[in-house]
Amino acid sequence: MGAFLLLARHFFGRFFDNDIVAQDSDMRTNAIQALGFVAVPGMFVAFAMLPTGARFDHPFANGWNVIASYYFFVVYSMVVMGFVMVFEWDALFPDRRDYIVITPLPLGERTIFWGKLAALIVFLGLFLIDANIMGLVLGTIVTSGPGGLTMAAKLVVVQAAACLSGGAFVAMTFAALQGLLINCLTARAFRRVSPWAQMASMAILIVALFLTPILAMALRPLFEQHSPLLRWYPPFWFLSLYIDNLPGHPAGTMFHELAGLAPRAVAISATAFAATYFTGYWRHARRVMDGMESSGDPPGRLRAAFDRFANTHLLPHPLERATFHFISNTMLRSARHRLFLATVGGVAIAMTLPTIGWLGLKPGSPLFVFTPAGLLTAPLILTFLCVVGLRAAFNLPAELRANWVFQTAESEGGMRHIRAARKWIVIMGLLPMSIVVLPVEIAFRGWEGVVHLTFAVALGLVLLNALLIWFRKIPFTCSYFPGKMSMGAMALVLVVGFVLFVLAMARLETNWMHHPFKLAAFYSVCAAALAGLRWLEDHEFRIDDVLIYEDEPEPAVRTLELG
Amino acid sequence: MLDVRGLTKKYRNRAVVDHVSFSVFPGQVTGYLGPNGSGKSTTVKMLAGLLQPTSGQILWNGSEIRQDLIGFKRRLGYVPEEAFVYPHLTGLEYLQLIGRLRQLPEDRVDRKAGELLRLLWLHEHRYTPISAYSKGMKQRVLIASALLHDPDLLILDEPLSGLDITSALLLHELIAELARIGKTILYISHVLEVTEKVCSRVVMLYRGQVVANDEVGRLRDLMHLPNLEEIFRQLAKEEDVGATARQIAAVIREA
Repeated sequence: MGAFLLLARHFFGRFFDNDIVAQDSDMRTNAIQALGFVAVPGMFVAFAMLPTGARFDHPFANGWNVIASYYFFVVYSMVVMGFVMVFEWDALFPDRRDYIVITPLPLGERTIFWGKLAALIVFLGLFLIDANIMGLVLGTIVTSGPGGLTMAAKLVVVQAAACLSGGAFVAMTFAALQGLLINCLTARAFRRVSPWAQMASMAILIVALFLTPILAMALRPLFEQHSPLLRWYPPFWFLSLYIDNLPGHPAGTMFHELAGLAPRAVAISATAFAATYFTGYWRHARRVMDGMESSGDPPGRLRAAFDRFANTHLLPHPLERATFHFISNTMLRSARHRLFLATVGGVAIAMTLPTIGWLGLKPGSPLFVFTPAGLLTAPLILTFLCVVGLRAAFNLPAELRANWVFQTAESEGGMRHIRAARKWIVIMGLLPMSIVVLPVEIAFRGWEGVVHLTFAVALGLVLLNALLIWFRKIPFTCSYFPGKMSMGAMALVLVVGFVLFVLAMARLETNWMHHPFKLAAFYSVCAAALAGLRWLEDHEFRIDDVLIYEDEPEPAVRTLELG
Repeated sequence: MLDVRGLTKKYRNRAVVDHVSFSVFPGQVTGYLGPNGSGKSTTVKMLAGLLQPTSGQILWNGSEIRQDLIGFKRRLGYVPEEAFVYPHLTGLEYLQLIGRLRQLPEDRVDRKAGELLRLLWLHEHRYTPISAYSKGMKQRVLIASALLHDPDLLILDEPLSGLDITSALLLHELIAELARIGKTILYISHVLEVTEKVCSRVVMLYRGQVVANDEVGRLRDLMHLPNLEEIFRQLAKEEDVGATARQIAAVIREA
């Protein structure tokens, strides 16, 4: 096998050897799991279309049901490719390890470049096909009607053109974005901006994914009223490409007009990708090699000032300082944790957006029409996800083999670590959230807004304390078995918790907002709950204060423990 | 003084450390020697409180360490065999983390961390993430972190790993100096020449059992052998390494 093919194979394998997705696990298993996971949703949607009697030649029948399904296929392809690019953000170019291993070998720089590019194209192509294969095969058979397999084959071509070009558009846009950042920014600025770009991309993709059902249901009014959103949201262009090319051309002028945007978008993203990837590659290579020898920068003035303030006023004990700063540094610098945070943030935005506004349907109207009434539930949603999301992030280990340092430096007062974790969620989660939401609340609801926000934060503090009572880990230092609690049970707990926290509490607040005595009673109950939880936590720590560093896996054989 | 009595660790009924007994005295550097897989690092992990022994006792100043494990850990400085550190932290942040975990006052953590990084030639890289450090630099961070809290007992597991010649010489001098001021030092290595230079006493381990435990000079005199390498060959009856070396050379030359 030639050097080019060997390199391409090596780089292809490295895409699956990704710390973000799975640590210390087999590459082949990662690949199979990822491909299987991506392929399945297309099959479900195709089967869901069966009982509706969906037909491509009657796309506007049954309330645009078929178009909504086609929309799913298009968005899914685009979102999957977006996720792939975000997860592989640091692997789009060869990394430090690649250069250390490959540079000493007698291989030309061009061979390495073409090997990496070929691996990237094959990898992206594999996921692009994988994300669409079920929809292409089953979706087209289901909707082909009496035309049989011949018509299904024609539909495959039409669907492939829309879905594959949509996915390729997203992949090339993300690659071009990183190439642009590499070309336009200094090495230092790139190091700072790149993780935030990756996080923002993740959040946008999550929002897009969560909004898909809402937008799918709104397709008819959006198209019938020629909403301006259609021109700004790329999935509509590729959906239009699909509908416009259906055999018999059943679509109207709006679809035809928007369909023209899709090939233009692909051409622009391809040009941007080609221009920025080629130039960015060499620039990136130089930086990686130079970066091996260069020294880092001291923390910025703002960060240093905050650390000093926190150490002096907020974190009186050394153990609290140790854990608090360890959490900050890990959350900021570990790609895995950053992406987890971005996911939680994306979910929070996606769940909040529908409550605080509507899509601008009519021409000339804004894309998003704000409705202040939605502010009732928005802070509760944000508080719930902030507390639950950050608490969940603490379970994800970071460089587990280094946790010996916590074990050998163990001392009395393990509770301090937990208190530091709680302070971190309050200071770095609830406080910034409140600072962002408060002006909006005051602007639209006056003093009621302040009460409203404190209502949500008080509940958030109770929830946070409840979640940490039996938490016996220093964040990120304990092994974690994601499958230990069943996904179904976890989802049920989350949904029930969410409904109770958001909907029930929003109703309670509506009823009590204008009754000062009831409000006072509410805050008193919260204060009592916090005191009670604090007492319970102290009590539980007196019984068992051992911090754990190794989570016990589920036993291979579960006994009934009878007698 | 660190006293190890009948220390045993079994995995699936196989003893990897088998009734090991030795003492480490204050003001002395005691070498703990043995080939790879002899049980050195398992012993050390038990001494550092990372592993639970199957049986036996570890006494620190006459008290079983498990009676007050936290008190013992407070007096312990440990450099592990493999440089597993948090790669996303900078050298300075790592030392700050250790100092805070050791509950040192904040100003003392900053002062000592800065000084140690300067003296170990890491000052220029104090804001660089450890992921960008060489193996030797990581090792120096580990050495600094083990010394930050002025421990009474130092357990150094292969501390020369990855160090350049200057750093290795510095470490030798530092170990001698620490012994002079009364620290109790256990030095684990499989490099016999180095151990011979650094240590005053040695404990030799072979297949989980102690095969020698004495002062270096007395061992040489007793066995009428010139150095530790020869003593080890005699005691451990290692395989014929000369023959193996010749076989390797033959494989390399094969067409």
